[in-house]
This record gives sequence, C-alpha cells and structure tokens, in this order.
Amino acid sequence: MIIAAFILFVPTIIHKVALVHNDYRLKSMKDQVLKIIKKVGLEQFIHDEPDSSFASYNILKEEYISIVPTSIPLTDIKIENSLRSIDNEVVDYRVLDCTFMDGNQTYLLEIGRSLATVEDFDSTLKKIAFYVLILGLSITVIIDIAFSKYLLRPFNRIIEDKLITAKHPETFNYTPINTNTTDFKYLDDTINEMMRKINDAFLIEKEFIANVSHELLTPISILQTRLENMLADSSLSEESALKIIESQKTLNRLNKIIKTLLLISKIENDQYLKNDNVSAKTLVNEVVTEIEERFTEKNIQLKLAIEKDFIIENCNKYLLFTLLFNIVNNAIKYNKENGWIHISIKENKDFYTLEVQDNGVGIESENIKFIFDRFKKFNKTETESYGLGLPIVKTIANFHGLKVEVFSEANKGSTFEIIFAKK
Amino acid sequence: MNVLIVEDEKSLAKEMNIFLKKEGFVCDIAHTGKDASEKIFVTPYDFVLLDLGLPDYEGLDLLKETKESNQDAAIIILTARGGTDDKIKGLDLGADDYLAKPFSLLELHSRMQAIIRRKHGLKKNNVTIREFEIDLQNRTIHCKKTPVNLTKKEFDILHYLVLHKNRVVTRLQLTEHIWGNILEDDYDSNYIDVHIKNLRKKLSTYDDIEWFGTVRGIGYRLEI
Repeated sequence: MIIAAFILFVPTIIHKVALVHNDYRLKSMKDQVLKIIKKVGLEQFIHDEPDSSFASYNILKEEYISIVPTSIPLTDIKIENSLRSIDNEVVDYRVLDCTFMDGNQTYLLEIGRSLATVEDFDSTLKKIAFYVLILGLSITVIIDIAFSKYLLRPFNRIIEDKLITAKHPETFNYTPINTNTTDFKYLDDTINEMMRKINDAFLIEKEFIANVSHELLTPISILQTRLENMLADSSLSEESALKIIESQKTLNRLNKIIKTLLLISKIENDQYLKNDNVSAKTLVNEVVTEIEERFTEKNIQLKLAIEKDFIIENCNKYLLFTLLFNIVNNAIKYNKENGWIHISIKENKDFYTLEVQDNGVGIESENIKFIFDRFKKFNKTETESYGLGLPIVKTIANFHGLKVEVFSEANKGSTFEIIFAKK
Repeated sequence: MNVLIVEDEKSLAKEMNIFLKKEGFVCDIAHTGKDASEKIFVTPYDFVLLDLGLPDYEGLDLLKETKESNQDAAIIILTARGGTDDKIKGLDLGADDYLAKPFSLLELHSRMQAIIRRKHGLKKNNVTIREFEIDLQNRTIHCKKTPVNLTKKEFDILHYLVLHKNRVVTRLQLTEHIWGNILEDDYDSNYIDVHIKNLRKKLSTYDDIEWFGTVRGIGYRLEI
C-alpha cells in the first residue's frame, strides 16, 4: 500500500521538482546574463540604433535570450509559461521576465526554456525514479526472501525431511534438525516423539500378526506333512487313501482362511508398501494370462475393450493383481454355460473405470450390500468357496483409495467397477 | 547327500526326516539353534533346511554362520511368520531359496532338486518317456522330433509330475504348485483336472500315453 501511494504521488512531485529546477536554472541564467552585461556593457548586445534589440536562440529553439528596450516600469521577476513565435514557429516556453535599468532606459530581459526541455528533464527524472524504485523493490524482495529462507530453514527442513517424505513409520527420519530456535526445536522433538509412538504401535501390531501367523500355521504345517507321508505309504487301502485326501482338503481350507485373514490384517496394519507404478492394461493382461484356461470349462467368451490405458501410480502390484484376479475369478465361477465376460477400461473427466462384466447368475438386489462381508455366501450350491474373495477385494481397494461399485440383477449377470480417481 | 534339518517343532522335523530319507537323503536334526550351530561347525552338509522361528537363536545369524563355516551348503529358509522382510533379508544374506510354511514336502523336494541341478551345472536336463523327449531346461517337448505345443501351465504340470515320477501327486499338491502364490477364494477347485485333460489330449495326438496314469480320487502319476 505504501508503494501504491508512493507510485501515485511521485510523478506529481517529480513534475514540481522539474519545474522548480527549471525556474532555478532560469534565474541562474538571468543572474549570469546581468553579470555579463555589467561586465562587458550593454552596447555589445544592443547597438546604438533606435529599436535595437537582442535575441539569441539555438537552432533547436530550446532556449532563447532576448533583451528589449521597454517602457514598462521596473517590476519583479515573473516566470510563466507562454507561447513565443520564433522563425515562424510557435513554441511553448517557460519564460522569465526581468526588467533592468541601463543608463536611462529600462530593458526587458527575457529568458525562455522550451517546455519540451522541461518535459525532457521531467521524464528523465521520472525514469530515474522508476528505476530506483524497481531496484529498491528488487533488493528489498531479495533480502526478504533470503532472510526468511535463512530464518525459516529449520522449519522448512522439518516439513521437507519429516512430514512430506514420511511414507511409513519405519522409514521415518529421526535425525534432529540443526537449529537454535527453541520453537523449532520443540516442534522437531515433538514430531519425532509422535512418530516413535506410532512406530511402536505399528511394530507391536506387526509382531502380533507374525506371532499369530506362526502359532496357527505351524500346527497346520505339521498336519500337512504328516498326511503327505501317510499317503505315500503303499500298503494303504484305497478307502483310507481317500479319507486322507479329504482331510488334506479340509486342512487346505483352514490354511487358506488363515492366510487370507492374515493378509487382510497386514494390509490394514499398513505392512504393504505402495511403490509400484503399473499400466492398467498390463495388469489386465497378466490376470487374463493367468486365468484364461479356466474359461474353457464353461466355454466362456472373453472380450477385452481397453479404450484407454493409464498408469496406476503408487500402488502395490501384487495386491492389485490379487484384487483383479479375484473379481475375474468370481465372474467365471458365477457364470453360465456359454456365457461371456467383458473387461474394459473407460476414461471420463475425473476418473478411469476398470469394469468386469458377466452374464452369469447375478446377485439378488437385497444381497448386494452384504457381498463384501466376510464369510457371506449366497449361492446355495456354492460350497467350495469360503466367502473371503470379495472381502479381500474390498480391503485392497480401501488400501489403495479405490472405490468398487457393483451392479447386478439375478439371472442377468453382474458388473464390478473399480474406480481410479485422476490426480 | 547330507541334510541338516533345523526345526524346533519336533513333529515337523520328524515328518521331514521320514520323507527325505525315502528320497535318499541322509538327515541330521537339530531342535535348537545352539545344537545346529555346533553341528554346522563340525559337519559339512549339502543342504541346511533352516527354520527362522527358533526360540533360542536368531535364524539369520545361523544363516551367516553356515555361510562362513560351510560354504558349499545350500540353504533353504523356512518360516511361518509370513513376513517378506525375512525372505528378502535371507536371500540377501545368501540363502538359496525360501519356503513359507505350510509347504508341501513335494515342493521342498523339487526346490532341492533345482538347487542340485544348478550347483552341479547340469545344463543338459532331458527326460525321455517312450517317444517323448522333454528338455526341462529350455521348456520344450518333442515327440519323434516334432515339437509339441504346450501352454506354460501345461508344461509346469508335466514338469512337476516328471520331477516326482513314479509317485502319486495329489490334485491338491498340483494345484498348490501351480497357483500357490495367488490368494484366491476357491479351496477345492477342479481347475487342475481341466488342465490335465487338455494336456493329455495334446500329448495323445502324438503318441500313446498309458504312462500318464490317474489314481482314482487321489491324483496323477507318471510311470517312467
């Protein structure tokens, strides 16, 4: 605001200064001329003829000096703007009129400087003022920035090194920031302390999950190897062998359930990183390659419609693969004989959609809101799944900040949409 | 070949011993890290099967010790703790392979066989079954010099059955081997049967496959 006021008043001030300077110059010239006249005598300029006068001006008509005999009485010095005609050209001048006596005659001394020169001077001054202003502003701004950068450096270091780059409590940078300012030191120490607490809680949870994993999976491991060895016994009757096979299947079911629950716990405890960047088209192709032989059993047709490929940034490739695999696997499992599956990627203003559509048995509308609940199974003939496929999908989607929408009609089919928001 | 089984769960160590003995390995068992440490120091082993969940010893330290005093030993780390950190650290420290518990004994055996082939520089790895010539290294199969076109999964299944030839491989074991890494919702899928059907169909167009046997209700066995 001060600068704005400054900018408004400066031109006026400069203009006044230019005028004052000019008038001062005129007066100084007048003094000099009078001094010269006194010294060399007026006869040098005014000859002894009637109506003799003196006028001098430069080619550019920027200045003129004229001495004219006059009959007006002696007056004070007058300075004003006036038009004068010289050589048939009319020019605007700042004129100083001064009367003086020489002998018995009063003379009018006029000194004029063209307003153009005053303007010149005026604009030169303005230019200088402008440059000084710019220079002053720049220096001020530079000093301000440098100073604040220097003063705020510890603060910026804290934000940069600790908050922005903190992806995970385990990779947090605890080195104290170099500063003498108590406030910054306190901020730094507090952030370090908070992070340590978060990391402790995280490690306790991680240790718990690892312990549970070990305690549950070790007995399963013992049973599995024991059953495998029993089966290898050649003296085993066929009936006993079949019973052992059934037990192995049961054990496998238990194993898978525990593994899935542990996976969900680990994802929810943030034990997975999101450091991968993967092309959506590549992901779809990988899942299709892995699963395509399952299409042949029910003679399912697969159609891919990848309108636009995009890169999924900061994700976990293994988890996204698992997510998509489970959705497509469901589309196969709940499909009809000779059915189809369409996988497409569409783009819209705010997001990309990865869609998996099938024309299978569909989901009853009253059941749709429960499909992501754990252990929920709706298809009464479905005995071979343990109902954790869609909960895994939901957990992985939440972990990545993705939305999953389901549209379905009984006996018509289902559509699963995974929505990726654009940055 | 000598194997040192380092496993604090006595039952599990026992079952691993029974299986490996049948496959022709000579096994020592250590239930504690201390015991394992001493044994490693004294005896040169071809294989050390190392459980990372030992209560008295840091499994990874034992790994380092083995690398120092028993450089030729192949080390396979086993763990039930399910973390990828252990896997990465173990492999970085020089373990040859990593198996998560619970694992199939057949899977353990195939990993050991792979290590043996690698260590002994067995480049040429061919198996002949009647008129079929299978190159396990390059993943090709020919019948009387004509190439047989198998999908990746079909070859993996055939490969696994060949590795465990003359032995019944259950459908579950095959399924685990092919799709073990993917966490999916089905625990009793018969997708493996579809693959076997396709595999058999392809092979039978070239020559008869009576050596490719089905053990009803249980699994498949190659009689070579």
